[in-house]
Amino acid sequence: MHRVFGMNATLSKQIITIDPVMAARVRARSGQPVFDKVIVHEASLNGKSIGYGIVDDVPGKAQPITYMTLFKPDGTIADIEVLVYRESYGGEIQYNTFRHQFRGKNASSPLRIGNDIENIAGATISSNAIANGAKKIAVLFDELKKAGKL
Amino acid sequence: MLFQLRQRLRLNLNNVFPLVLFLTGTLPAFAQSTEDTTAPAATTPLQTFINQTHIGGYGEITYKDPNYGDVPRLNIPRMVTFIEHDFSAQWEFKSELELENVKLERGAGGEIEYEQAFLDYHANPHIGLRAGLQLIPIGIINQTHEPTTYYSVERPLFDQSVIATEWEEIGAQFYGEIAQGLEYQVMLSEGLKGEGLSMTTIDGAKQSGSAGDITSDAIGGSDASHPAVSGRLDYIPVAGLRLGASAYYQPVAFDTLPAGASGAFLMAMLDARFEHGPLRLSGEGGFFTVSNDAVNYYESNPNYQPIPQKAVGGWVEAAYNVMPFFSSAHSELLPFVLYESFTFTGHPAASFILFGENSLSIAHNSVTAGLAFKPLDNIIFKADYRMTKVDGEADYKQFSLGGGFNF
Repeated sequence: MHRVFGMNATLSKQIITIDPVMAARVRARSGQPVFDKVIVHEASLNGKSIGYGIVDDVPGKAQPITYMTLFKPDGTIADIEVLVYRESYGGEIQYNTFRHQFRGKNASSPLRIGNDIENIAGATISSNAIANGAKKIAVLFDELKKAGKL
Repeated sequence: MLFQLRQRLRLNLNNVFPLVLFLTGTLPAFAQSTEDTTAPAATTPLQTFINQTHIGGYGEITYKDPNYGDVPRLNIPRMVTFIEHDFSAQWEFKSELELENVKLERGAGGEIEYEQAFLDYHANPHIGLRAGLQLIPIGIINQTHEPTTYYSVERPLFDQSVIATEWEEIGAQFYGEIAQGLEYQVMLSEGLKGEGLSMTTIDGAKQSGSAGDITSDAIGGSDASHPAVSGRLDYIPVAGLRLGASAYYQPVAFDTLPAGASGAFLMAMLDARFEHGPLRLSGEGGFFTVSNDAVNYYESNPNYQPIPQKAVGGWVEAAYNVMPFFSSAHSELLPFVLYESFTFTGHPAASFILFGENSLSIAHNSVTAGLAFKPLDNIIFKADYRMTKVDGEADYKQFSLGGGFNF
């Protein structure tokens, strides 16, 4: 959070419950199920919100990948940060050349490998996992914002 | 059926894992530690075990109809189960257990084997150590061989003969990232038993953790007296491009050689994968060579089969995802063409009897054209037609259908 939003940002977090209606909407828009709770990290400066981060797990080849999607307040993706990568292969999704492709995208972007996101050649499973995950979380962020929860 | 299986697994992975985290109260704990990337702390031994152990697998089913004598065959060439366990953020165990060709009965039929089984110590992004049975880091297909990662029903012929995938040996490997986009693997392992090389494949020379077949003895384990070193560099300059260079060197690859004779075996490969939007290009090529001393000795000794002096060649493949023309669905439809060319060359004095003619070398030229459909990222259906000319004469054709998955 500090890397993306600056060392002066104040960090806080809240646990938001996702009601079944919202969960169904996220599922319909992203094609993926969501948890019934989500932890949203918020970065603020002088009392004003400057960004958010949502932590999530997506299934990799055999093990889950834990990553954070960071958003500007308008719902644009600021960055992706891989927090825990457990596989032996495919760790290249942590490279800037892959992660930076997500910048500026939002819930209405396709966020699809072979469309607006280039695969890491040879790391297809991990690349797909992160792209799918980012789509889900971007849609979730959009829904949370519309519902006035952010 | 595969689709339903995948749906069930998706439910399991997406719902059960977070559910377990919530039930155990570890997700809030996890959240507190997100800035330092440490793994979630669990509260009971069972919960810890569930969180740290992962299963997965892959498999494929094929229908192959060749024009060269055999009947059409349906097969499940491979069913593989992964079991992985994290002891800590640094230490993990990984295994892949494989059953080939459906069943093994009274010693006949398929084969059951550990394809990989190793302990992995991941010290930091720059250095890790894997010890155990693991894949030789050479070429593309050997390390990335799940059926959903290539489009032809069968693996390229090159990867069934020159590099006989999967090629795994017991050994120790250092791996890591030199700089962002530049990765290395260096491995010291048991080596090939060169006596098992043939004019069509290196397959018979692999030990794969057990020398049983080759030595005909009842002693478990491989022959570690002739170790080999192998290594690979991966360069990823941009997201869609990966370039690889890999090599395998074994100073002595033969048990029996005249005094003072060299028995070295060297293999070197270059490969590239490029993806941009719907376009997928890949290629792999290189050679292996055996010392002349060994080739001469095995040619002149009637107790042994002749061995190749070298093999050279490779393949290129182009595929294009045409699904966006038809639908916006999250699936892929990929017409592809795979071209392969490789030649095994024997001793200059050798006379291999090939299709009734003497031959110094055996050249394969093959074109495979087909269609792959991926309804989901981890499921693939394939159809292709392969035309292979051997030495420019014998003509082999095969129509194949296949389906595969991984999870």
